[in-house]
Amino acid sequence: MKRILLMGNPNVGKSVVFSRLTGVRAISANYPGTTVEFTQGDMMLGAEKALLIDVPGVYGLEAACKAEEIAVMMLKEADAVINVVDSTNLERNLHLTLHLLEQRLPMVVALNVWDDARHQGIQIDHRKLQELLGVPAVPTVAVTGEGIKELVEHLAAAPTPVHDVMTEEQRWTEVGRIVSEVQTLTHRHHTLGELLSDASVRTETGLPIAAFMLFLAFAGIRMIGEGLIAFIFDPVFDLLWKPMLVRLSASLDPSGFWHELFIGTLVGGEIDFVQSFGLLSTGLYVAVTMVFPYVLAFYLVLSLLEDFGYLPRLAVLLDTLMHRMGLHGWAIIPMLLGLGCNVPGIMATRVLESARERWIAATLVSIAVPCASLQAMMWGILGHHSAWYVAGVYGTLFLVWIVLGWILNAMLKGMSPELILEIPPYRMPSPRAIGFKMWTRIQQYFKEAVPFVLLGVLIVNLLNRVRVFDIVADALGPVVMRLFGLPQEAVLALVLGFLRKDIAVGMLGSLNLEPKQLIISVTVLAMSFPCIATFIVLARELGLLGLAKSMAVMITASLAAGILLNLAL
Amino acid sequence: MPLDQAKNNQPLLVVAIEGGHQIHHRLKSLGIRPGVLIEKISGRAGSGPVVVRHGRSQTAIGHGVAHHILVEISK
Repeated sequence: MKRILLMGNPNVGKSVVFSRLTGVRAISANYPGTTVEFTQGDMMLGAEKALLIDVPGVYGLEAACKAEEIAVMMLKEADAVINVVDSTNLERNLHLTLHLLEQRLPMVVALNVWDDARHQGIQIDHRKLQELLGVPAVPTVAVTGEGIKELVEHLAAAPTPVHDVMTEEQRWTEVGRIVSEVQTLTHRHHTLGELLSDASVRTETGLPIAAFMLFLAFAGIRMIGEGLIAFIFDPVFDLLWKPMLVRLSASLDPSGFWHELFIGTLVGGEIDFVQSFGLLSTGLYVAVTMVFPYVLAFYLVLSLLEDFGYLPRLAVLLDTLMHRMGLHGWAIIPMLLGLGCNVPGIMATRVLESARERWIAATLVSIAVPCASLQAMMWGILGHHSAWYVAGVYGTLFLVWIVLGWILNAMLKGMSPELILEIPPYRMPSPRAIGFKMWTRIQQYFKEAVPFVLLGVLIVNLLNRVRVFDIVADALGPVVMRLFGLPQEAVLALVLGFLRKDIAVGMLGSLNLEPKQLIISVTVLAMSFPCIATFIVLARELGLLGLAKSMAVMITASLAAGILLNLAL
Repeated sequence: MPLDQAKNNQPLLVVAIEGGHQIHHRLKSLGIRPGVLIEKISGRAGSGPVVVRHGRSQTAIGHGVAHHILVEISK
């Protein structure tokens, strides 16, 4: 099968072109021996099936960063190249194009976001460009699909360019010459989008805009999440899943091992999805019905913000703050992802340059960034008392995030690297690209998180049967009681919460604790041991030593937070 | 003068880029190199990132790197 590479600068709509060419059946993979991720899928080239590889966005082929190194390696095994170019930014994009032409592979150029270029008063003579480059140059609007068919037709018969290798300086000179020949600019005033763009990176105007955007985002997530639960997930679970479980329950001995493992204890003679604690009852219900709708809502809103182009601006605004934590502004991305599920959040720390940054960011995500599941727990325990208590826990976690980051940065040797980040123009998100992104993230949630969450449920149920947790709780009880000001029963909930936050919710809820005690236990639960899925991904990303250090920090930090809250409140 | 100390909203000419090869290269591949006209959109002298417009692109540059980009006011 022919291997075709899809290449271009970051933020040129490459992934939209990819989804146009392949449809939804694409898989993400890591390049062997690296953590750089790429996507591949099948496309039709005439009657022939070919493999299309979405290469990470690069600005050049000098192998100056991991992504470029991999792009260079991939080129060695490629049969043809589709170079996606941002028509509104021809000059910068053509640098890579010229570099690619030197590889002497059959190639076509997609002049993408052609519609935006026209709106901005940029005219490009694409026939002239085609002549100068020696390969086909096709205007495309990937979001609507315009030009994609022509692109594929030209690819099937793409010529191999015969360009000589140039030096960097020669390349830039050549780019300048080509641009002056093919591009005419019509003068125009700043558009509303540009004014908004400038306003959102200036501190004075940017911070109010950020606050407004985040408020909108959270309101949207809550509305969509609750809507999905009330109108789709709860009814489906009740109508389809419950009858099957009832039948299974009836066929098992209610006091036997298997019943307790799968169904749990019956509450008032019935299966209670929140309080039975079985693998197939509460375990599945929490992961699929309580948490998944929020994960879905969260990633929908985040993908919209991402494709609209807001996130780089947020990164600029937060750069100064993040520097105090040994990170730079772009590290806000893993943190945001972590709010949905910590697993993709920790995996996203790969975008950071140094091992030091990745460790700090991953540790902070696992300790101070509450995932959708933890947030559901926070609301579940504290929400009906007062939303202010929930806000108190969010506020505490935010403080922990900043203070802990600051401490880690001060303690660890090394410097925080500097931000160098392109800020793309604001664009209307494409439903297709959003759908594609959601699909990969949902797959990730079900593949990398849910199985381990269920595994955690299994382990807890088994250990609970031999009363391991009671022994641990008895041993730790007196100490924790004095430090956190919590009763003995709450300690058992905290210990169980290491692996099953859902059980902890049920147990804490039935203890009639004071608000202060609830806030302390919820905060400690949120900060202490992450779920098994997070644990495993931390080990994978940081190594066992990194994980051990991270856990030491976690234990110290949650103890300190519990004690301080007990003293302060 | 270093870019971080330049005023906002005026055309600047990049004169030189100091610092390591890596930074040099990343800026260059984004299109920021000596001889290019840029405009500073945001950023202050003390701290924080600098955002510049060059051609049709905008790039955010950490304060430390911005300090190594030498510019002069273009007439």
